[in-house]
Formats: sequence, structure tokens, C-alpha cells
Amino acid sequence: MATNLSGILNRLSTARTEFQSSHLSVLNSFAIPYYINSNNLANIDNSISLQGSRGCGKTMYLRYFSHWTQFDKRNHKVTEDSLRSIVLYWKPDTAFCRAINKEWLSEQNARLFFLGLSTLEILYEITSALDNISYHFPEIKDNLHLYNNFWSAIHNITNNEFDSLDKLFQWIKQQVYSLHISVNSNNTDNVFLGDPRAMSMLLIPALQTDCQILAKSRFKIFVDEFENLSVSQQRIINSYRKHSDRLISWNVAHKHNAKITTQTEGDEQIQGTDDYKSIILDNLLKKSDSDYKFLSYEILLLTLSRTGIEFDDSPLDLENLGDIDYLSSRLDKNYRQYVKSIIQRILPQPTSYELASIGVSNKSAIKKISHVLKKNIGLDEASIKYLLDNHPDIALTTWGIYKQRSFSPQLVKSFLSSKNLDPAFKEKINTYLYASVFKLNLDNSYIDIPIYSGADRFCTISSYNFRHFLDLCYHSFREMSDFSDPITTINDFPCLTYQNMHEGARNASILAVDETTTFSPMGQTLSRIVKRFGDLFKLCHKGDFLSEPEVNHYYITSDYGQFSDEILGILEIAKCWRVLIEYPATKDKDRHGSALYEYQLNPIYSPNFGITYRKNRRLEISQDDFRVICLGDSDEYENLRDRYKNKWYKHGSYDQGTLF
Amino acid sequence: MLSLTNWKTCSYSPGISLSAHRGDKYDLAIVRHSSNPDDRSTQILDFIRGQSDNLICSSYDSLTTKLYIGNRSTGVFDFSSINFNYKKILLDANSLDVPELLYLMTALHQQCIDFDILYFEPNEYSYTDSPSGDIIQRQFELSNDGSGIDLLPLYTSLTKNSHLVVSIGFEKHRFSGLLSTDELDFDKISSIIGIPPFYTGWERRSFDANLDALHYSFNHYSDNAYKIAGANDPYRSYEIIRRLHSPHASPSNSKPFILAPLSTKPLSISMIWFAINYQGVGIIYDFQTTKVDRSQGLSKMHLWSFTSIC
Repeated sequence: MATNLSGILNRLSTARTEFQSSHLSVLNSFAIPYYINSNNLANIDNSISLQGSRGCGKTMYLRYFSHWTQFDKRNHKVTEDSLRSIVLYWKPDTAFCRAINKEWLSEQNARLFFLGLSTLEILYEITSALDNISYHFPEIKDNLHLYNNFWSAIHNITNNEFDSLDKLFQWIKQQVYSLHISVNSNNTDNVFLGDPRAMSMLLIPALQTDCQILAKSRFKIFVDEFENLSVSQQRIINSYRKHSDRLISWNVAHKHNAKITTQTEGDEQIQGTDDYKSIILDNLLKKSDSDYKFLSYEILLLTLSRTGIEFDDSPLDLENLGDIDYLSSRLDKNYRQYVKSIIQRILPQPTSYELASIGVSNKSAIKKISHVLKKNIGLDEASIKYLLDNHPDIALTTWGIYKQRSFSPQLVKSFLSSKNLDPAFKEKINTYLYASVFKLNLDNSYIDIPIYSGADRFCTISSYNFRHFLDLCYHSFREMSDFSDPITTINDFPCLTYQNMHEGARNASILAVDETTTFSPMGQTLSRIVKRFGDLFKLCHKGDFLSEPEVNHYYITSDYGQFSDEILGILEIAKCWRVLIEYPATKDKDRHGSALYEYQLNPIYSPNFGITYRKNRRLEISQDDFRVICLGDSDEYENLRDRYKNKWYKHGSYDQGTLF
Repeated sequence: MLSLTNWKTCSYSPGISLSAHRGDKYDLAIVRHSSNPDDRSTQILDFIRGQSDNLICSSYDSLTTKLYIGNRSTGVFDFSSINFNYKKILLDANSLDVPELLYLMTALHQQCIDFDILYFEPNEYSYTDSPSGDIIQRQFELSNDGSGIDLLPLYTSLTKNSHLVVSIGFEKHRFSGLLSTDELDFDKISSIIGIPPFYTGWERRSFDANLDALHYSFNHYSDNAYKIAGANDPYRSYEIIRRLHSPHASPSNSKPFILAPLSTKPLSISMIWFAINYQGVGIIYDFQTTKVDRSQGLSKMHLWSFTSIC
């Protein structure tokens, strides 16, 4: 069915947010990641701690394994083997759960209310699973009535008689509502009281006794958004995790780097390796950059296909991206070539040479570069024209680095006479070409070389965040909104210009910067971190001369790597929201103390400031300066900024040497 | 039932007295202590001192969930033990934040004590003009980071599939913060914008700040129209909330109903007033703290009289 770009954009806008949450089943809307075989939640016996940053696909991954997708009524591939592992997905109402606390209720009542609520919600989840599963195995409902162990257990748990799952659903909803009213009066008299572990240990064996088909099933209860529960509630769940067994395991999912407790309700701690297996999705994605990129492309195509665009000539039906049986087909050379060819057509990527060519085609840029080549390098008009026309990368980089001490005009002149590039000069061009492009863009508002364009760059900028990748694409497509031709198949989809993508990336980045203020509970601090580091790096990029390739990360100097609690708290939250990305320090040049880690500003913010998205050179920041950047008022920050500006702009040329 | 029985308003001028509106001086005025007062808060405090025989500070500690009145702290289930001791009580809505107003109004209502609330509209709010992409954006940064979004004790509610009614103001991040959090799972969002605003033209500030959030909200939640109530009009706002709530009042519809007071104090007061009158209504708050010099000047003065019928 033919549509147009405007219609597709409307549907894409919704699809981007669907990627975050909304439907519990992800059937036909999920692309299975390539790390699944070694991290198949259904096959892992241990209790699991699934961790991942926002946008990495954690919740989608979890929902894929849950009964909502595996036994979705539209899923035609359900077999008895699917029953081996039944994943229950519980996303607690964490705002309400956190409000149930001992500070205003008593410790005892807060515990009773939480246990009652979690019992009801997990019972709802078990009932939903039964409802979904029995659609594929109708004999289950008959067996429940025939043998009655399940309904008898339900009677024990609820003190009520039920003869259908629908009535049980209604009862649970009413009980949850009553419980919420009772919390506000702190009255436990007429409220449902229970224990989710005891309930599941009573109910699940009864279910298995009634239904032979479930006799070998293992049940995995996943608690999502675990980090948003209160500490005492986390301790309750940790106690369950500690005592997970083969039949019923308790598992959690939370943001990577979130602060959570390892304590149980008793004296024991829950310990990694012994008590649970950690699966950190960010690390799995980082393991294979090529897989991340290809998966991003597949997710984009799947998202486009869900807007109604047809992919008639695809070697693989895109709906099968969510089918584990097709994982090997996705490694097929023809299929991979097909996906890449579409992506390369829609989101073409300029090479560094092309970017340099685009740069030197601008009149203002020609004037600036020619001036330096003539005055500082001593070239005649013909040589300048030759360089600009045939070797824009050399011309542009020379403009960027001519003030460096180690740079000699002779390098350019030798090249012009011999047409052979000195290896050291070649290395400098490789190192400084991008930095020169950024500097040229920042130096002149009339110059806007599309350095953020291209599918591959979108992957780097999105940095293992699929939602950001889709945002970059969506905002780029919006730049083509005057394209009105009908679109039926993917071949009708317009090819974006470099400038479309560059603008799209900038718009997506502006929104990402804006969003930081909403990151609870330190939104304004995180927003200051992004805006002030973005501003500092921009200042650094714009320096009088390029003494260094692009800077977009830093390390904080400290004595023996010890930070104050205040700084540690800020760093923890910044990492949790992935405003900053932490890396082990690559090289310690600190003269005053040691730095164990360095921090990169998330590259999604780079286009907003016109700075690099590549992790290259780092900046040294003192604890005091970091504090000013995070918490200082505007006067304090202006003083700091002036100090750095003087350091970068007025020290005269110096050579920073080669890259680490 | 708590009722708003009188509303007096006039322009502020030096020498003005509340006694001209209400008769005698107040027995007790309750304010929030500021460790770092600015010109406006000092001016208001001086004014209130002249209107009341006694002045006491109050604050709410979100960590311990205790309401402090003077040096005495009280748990939310012990408000009946507070001995107000006075007949004519004034609450200062300029300094008291949403949680304090909520619990003081609750405590007074529980003891069937009538009270007045005083509010001065400001002449201007502080702003900065910052570049965002190619354009300069006027941003109102009136608050500092707080402890994060939480439901308020006594007014907690389930949030899954809930109907949220939010009053939105000049600070972009507050409504957006509610929308972007992974924790809340609203089914419907209704927004109330303060129109007419304190000054003509200020409505644009609310729209500018919340345009993206409103657009998102319209696209993703079923109530795709914003409501308007005067930025200084708790009556009108209360009525809007009552209409929005009416489907939820029926026993067959147990959808949670949550209020988020994120804009002017008069609209926040209407939400508090409503939650006190309707059992089961939740209040969610982001606990942002007030910045020094966030607003300047005293414009219109409002005095709302609440009567408690037990």
C-alpha cells in the first residue's frame, strides 16, 4: 500500500517510543540481538541480574523471553518445547512501592503492604501466563478444573472461590485498588496480605500437578526497574534471589551502574558468581561493534517495515528478525549485503576525503585556507589551487596544524614537488583531518561541513543506544519532509543528503541535551555537566591552532583516585543515565595523583555543540574544577572558562606529540 | 469537606494591611524559613510580621516524612495532636512549598480549623537566554535539583494506567521529567495551563517551555487537549479537576487519579484542596527546591479563606 514520507514520519514517531516500552509482547517488533545464544535467559539456570543502559534494548530483550511474547496468541511457532522455561515479567509500580515506606507507615505495615501488593501483581502475572499458554494448549484449562489442585491453592491464597481466570483477574484488580486506599490510612485490617515467594511455591507445584504438560517447566520471575524499589524492598527480593531454585528463580533487571543493595533481609549478602549471573547488555554490545551496527540497521529497517513500507526483494522477511530460528539466516552474505545496500543508499556516508572536499568548496573556507597556504606556508597561487582541487585533505589539515612546532612548511612543499607524502605528514593528516573539519565548522558560521552524516557515524554517535540511533534517523528523515512522492517499497524511499543527516543529527542532539534536565534526581546538575563540558570542548576545538586532535573526554585528578562523596555521587548518577561514559584510564599522565577512570561526554550530545563524537584526546580536570562545572554558579563557571581559554589560546604553539 | 469561601484580591502597595480585608490581625502566621532570603521573600516576611501577632516556621522533611511546626515534628498520622491554639491562622503560600501547604491544610482541616492563605503575584521571574542550536531560548530556571519524583504520604496512589492531571508552568524540565521517567506509566494525561497568566503574554512562556512535552503528551495519551484556568484562580482549576475526576468517582471505574502541582501556587492550592476533599486521589511531586532570587517584586495580592466543615 502506497504511503508518503509524512505518513511514515507520523508512524515512526510513535514507533520510536514504542521501542522504549508500551506493549508487553514484542512479537514482530523485535530484532533478536546477536549475543542471544550465550545469553539466552530461558536457558540459564542461575538467578540472573540483567543490566543495561537506557536505550540498549534491556526491556525489549526481557519482554521477548517473557510469556507475553513467547505465548502471544499471534505466535504460531509455540511447541511443547516452548514450555521448558516460562518467564514472568513483573514491572512493579515503583513510584507507589517506594511510597510504601516505614517512615510514615510502620516498618511492619510497610513490609505487609509491599508483600501484599507484590503477591497480587505476581499472581496476576502467573494468571496472565496461564491465559496466554492455555490459548496454545487448551487442555490446560480443562485439567485445572478436572484435578483442581490449582484452584484449591488459589482458594488458600485468596480465601475466595473462583472458576475462571477472568474472575481471578477481576478479583486481583479489586484487591490492588483496595490495598492502595488502605495504604493512605495505614490500615491493614481489610487488605490482602500475602508473600509472593510462598504464594508461588504453593501455586506453581499445584499447577504442575494438574497439568502434566507443565511438569518439566521452570518458572523465572523477573523484577524489572529493580533499582527504583526502596532499599528494604530490594532486600526482600534479594532474599528470594538468594533462595532461587531450579523450579522457581527470582531475577532482576536494572540500569547498568545503578546503585542497588546486595543485602538480604537476613545477615547474608547476595553475591555475584555464587548467587546470580550478571548479564550486562552494554558490554555485550561493545564486544562486537560490527554486530551493534548491523543490528541497528536491522532495527531501522524493521521499524520502517512496520510503518507499511514493503521489502519485497528482501532475502529474509523482516518479521523473522524476532525469530531465533532465523538467527543464522541473518548471517547470510546475501541478506547482509541486501541490508547494507539499503542503508548505504538511504543513509550514505561521506569519507573523510569527501568531507574535506566539501569543506574546501566553500568560498569562506577557500579564502581562509588559501590565506594560510600563501602567507604561512609560502605557496604560489597555482600550488594552492592544485592542493585545493586535488588534495583537499592536505590543504585543510595544513590550515589546522600549521602553527604546531613540529610542523614545517617544507612538508607541504616536498609533497608538491615529489607528489609523495612523507609518512610523518601522512600520520598527521590522519590524526588531525577530523579536528581541522570541526575547527573549520566552529570558526565560521557560514561553513557547515556535514561531519555527522552517514549510517556508520550515527552508530558511533548513538553509542550502543538503539533509541538514539532511531532518533538520529527519524530527525534526518524529517529534513526530507518536502519529499511527496508515494512510497510503496523501500526502493521508493528517498536517499538522504549528507546535509539532511547532519541537520537531523543536530536536531536529535539538541533534544537529547534538553532531555538531561528530566533525569531524576539530578537533572539540572546533569544538564550543567553536559552544557558546560560541551562548551569547554567546543572552546578547545576552536583554539587558535590545533595542538591536539579532538578532545571530548577527561579525567579527574585526585589523590590515590579518591573522590569526595559529593563528586562520587554525581559521577554515579551521570554514569547511570549515561550522560558520562566511564572508561578505565588509558594512560596516567597526571603529575599530582592517579586517575583510575576517564569520562567521555556521551557522543549523542556532540552535534549540539559541533564537537567531535570520537574518543581521542583527553583533558585533565581537577576535582575543584569538576565541582564548579557540576555545581558552580554562572560566575564561577565563567572564571573557570576564562582560565581554560587563556591556557588554550594564549600559550603559543606547542606540539603535543603523537597520540597515546 | 474543605471549602473556599472567600477570595479577596487587590494590588500591592506599601502600607497595605490585611486587616482592611479581614478585620483583626491574625493570631498566627505560618511561613517557611529561608536560610538565604532574597529581597522578595524578605519583603513578604516583613509584611506578614505586621499582619499577625505570632509567626512560626514550618517545613516538611521528605526523608523522615515529618511535618515541622516550630521545633516540633509530627508524623502524617498524628496531625490531630498538633495544638494550633489560635483561632485566626494565615498560611503564607509564597514561602511554603507544596508539601508543607498540603500537610498544613490537611492538619487544619482534620481539626476543623478555618484558615486563610496569602499569595503575592510576582512582577517577574528570573530567566537566562541560552543558545540552543541556532536559536536563543529563554529558560526559566526557578528551582534546584530536588530528591526526585515521589508520591506524597497520605496521598499515595497506584500510578500504572493512571490519569495524571498536571499543572504546567515556565520550567521546561518539570513536566518533561514526569513524561520521560521510566517509573510512571500513565494512561491519560490532562494538562492545565495558567491562562490568563499573571501578566498578559506570560502564557507564551508556558507554551514555549512545554511545547515538546505537550506535543508528546497529545500524541501518546488519550486526552489531547489542554485545559485553561487563570494562573491565580484556584476556583476554576478546582472545577476543571472535578470534571476530569468525575468518571473516576464511580465505583466501576477504579482508574488511579493523580495530581501533579508543578506550576503557580494558586493552581497548586487547588490541587491540594481537591485531594483533601476526594479520597484516593494521589499527589506526585518532584521536590525541586526554590532558587534564591527566582522572582522579583510584589504585584497582586490574594487572600483565600478556607472553611472546614467536618
